[in-house]
Amino acid sequence: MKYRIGVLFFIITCLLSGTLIYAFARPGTIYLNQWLDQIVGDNFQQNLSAMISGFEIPGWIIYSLPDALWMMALITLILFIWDFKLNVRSIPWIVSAILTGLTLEIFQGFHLIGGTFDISDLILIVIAAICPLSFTFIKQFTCKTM
Amino acid sequence: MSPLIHIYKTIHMQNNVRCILSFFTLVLFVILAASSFGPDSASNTIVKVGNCEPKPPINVSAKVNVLVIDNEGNPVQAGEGSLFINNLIVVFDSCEYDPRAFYKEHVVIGPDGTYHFQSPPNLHENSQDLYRVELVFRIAGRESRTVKILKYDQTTVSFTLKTPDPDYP
Repeated sequence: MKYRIGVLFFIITCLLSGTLIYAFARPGTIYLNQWLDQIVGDNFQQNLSAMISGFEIPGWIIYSLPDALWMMALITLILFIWDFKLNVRSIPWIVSAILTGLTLEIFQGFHLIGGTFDISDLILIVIAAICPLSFTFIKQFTCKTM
Repeated sequence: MSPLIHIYKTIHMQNNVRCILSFFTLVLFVILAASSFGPDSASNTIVKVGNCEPKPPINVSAKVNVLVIDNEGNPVQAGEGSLFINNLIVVFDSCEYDPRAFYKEHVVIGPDGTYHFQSPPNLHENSQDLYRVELVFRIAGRESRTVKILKYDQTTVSFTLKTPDPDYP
């Protein structure tokens, strides 16, 4: 039970970190920040932005990392739901999750949805998906061979 | 056994519940991804590059004028918004844009129904060097979004916004 709480904590941390990067480092016109302003109160997002206005944050952290953190949370949550077992029932959901993340980014490249296609977004999303999957794969494979 | 653990163990065994949870997880992710859309310095800011050709270097500022009028065409002090100006510079020998400067301004309409902004000067030395000017404006709860382009030596862009007609029941 303890490790499950740990996993849930990890998922929530990933989701919150991605959201906070948007809140701290992106302008109020981003829909997420508009929602935050509506939920928390006026100028919430502007106050957060002002707190980091003097810091130089690398572009990949501001623009690419949030989606990667959300992808990691998504894959970990799906693995959590399926008891960290890779089998015929769980794999279609995992594949769907990865395809959803990649499709959203690729659609930006073809201007089918808002945003700008960026190869670093795509690379980080793939890495974020692979990390929890490889952990599960190694764990499952190691347990079978032992 | 605590009720929480009991609920967890009940859910734990049912694959159809897992399918439902997985589906809602995917929906949550799509909502999060969609919520990250919107104009800023990174997204939606690169315009299609045309035929690039070198031009004499000049320092150009982007001057933005906003005018809000009512149904009779009279200036009114109404609404507020945000102004996003990207200075896009063609990278030497590549014909690709590099966003060099970004200005975000809060648009507050004055008593005469106007707003003016002038960016600091930036060097333009290609026919496709430009300012991308985006105005997001809200009047009476309605949001409009307009993008205009100032290429090479163009300096002034104007937006005229009309107050919306009232909704009659």
